[in-house]
Amino acid sequence: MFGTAVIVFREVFEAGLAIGIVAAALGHAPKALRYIWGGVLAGVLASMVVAVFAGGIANLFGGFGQELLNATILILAVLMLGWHTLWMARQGRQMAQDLKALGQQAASGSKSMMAVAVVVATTVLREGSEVVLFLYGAAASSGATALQSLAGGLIGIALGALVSYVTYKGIVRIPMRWVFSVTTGLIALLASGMAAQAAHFLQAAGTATFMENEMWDWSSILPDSSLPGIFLKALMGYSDRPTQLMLVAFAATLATFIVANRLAKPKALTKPAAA
Amino acid sequence: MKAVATALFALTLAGPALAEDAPVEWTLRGANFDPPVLTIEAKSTFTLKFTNTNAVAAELECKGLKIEKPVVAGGSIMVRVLNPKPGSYDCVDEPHEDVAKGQIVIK
Repeated sequence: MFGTAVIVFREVFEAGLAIGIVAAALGHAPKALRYIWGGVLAGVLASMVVAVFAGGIANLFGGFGQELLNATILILAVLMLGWHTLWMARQGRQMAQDLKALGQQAASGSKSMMAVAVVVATTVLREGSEVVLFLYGAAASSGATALQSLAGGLIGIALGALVSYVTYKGIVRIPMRWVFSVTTGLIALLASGMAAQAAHFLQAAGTATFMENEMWDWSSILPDSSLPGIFLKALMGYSDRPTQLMLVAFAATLATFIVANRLAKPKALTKPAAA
Repeated sequence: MKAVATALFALTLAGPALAEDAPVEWTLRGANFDPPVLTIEAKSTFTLKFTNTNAVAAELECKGLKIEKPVVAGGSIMVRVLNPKPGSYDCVDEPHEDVAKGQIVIK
């Protein structure tokens, strides 16, 4: 029971942390909550579908179907976060030129919020498919151990959701004048970490067989299985023994997001008081 | 970013590269790993084929080797391990980690 609870807790927390950051960054947009919860729901449903076909998916691509599925949904999430960031940057510039554009933002915001919903859904799908697999396995079999696993899973979900909520509340309490830059930075880190993990999955599947050498080994200082390690992994794709390709993917994505966010700067310069 | 992501996506679609070596096979029967201790010659990379003969889902976890992958009831998974260092590594079927223990030794 304890084993299942820990697995499920970790998966739920990893998804919850990412969603918390996205919600804190973008939750003030019109109808944002509807898109975020819609994304969660879509992710849960997709997780169930993936779990039912887990055996088949695992057997795809010479037994590396799961890694390639993970890599694909991570890359999709990074693209969506990038697209949303660019959209925000463009919108910010427009707002500086014309305050009336605010109404326009509300009107056209739904297109960009769709990207946010996709990010949330893919995050839930990535972690959720494993959770569903265990709970489904536990529920499908019978006996005391099955019930214990199921109970453990439910405890894991509850604890994961609770810790994610507390983290979200912590981010939201950051003073208003900083919350935008903090969450923008967090989203850039989140996307860069996703890119690094996508690189990891491509290497784990044998699809990318270059730049495989280990950069360093921090497994004795900050193991990625420890609680701070799990937190850093969810936040920015931390690995205690990253490969060269993982670091390149992280750095390239981070640099791209920094450049994209620079495009939004004029807004901050011309509209310093409003927040 | 898009260029990088597109390149990565193209790689995803390109499918797995040629197998480097035949996978090493390992099987979970009940709470027992077969063989209990799996010995592997040290190389830069090796591939493991892990089969779960049980009626419930399992998860192979070998912390020091960064192996952590679920496997459905009666299914098998492939795991590619990068940069393994010589040593012995404890492995478990995580949902039943109290009883289901095995070991991988890298020589």
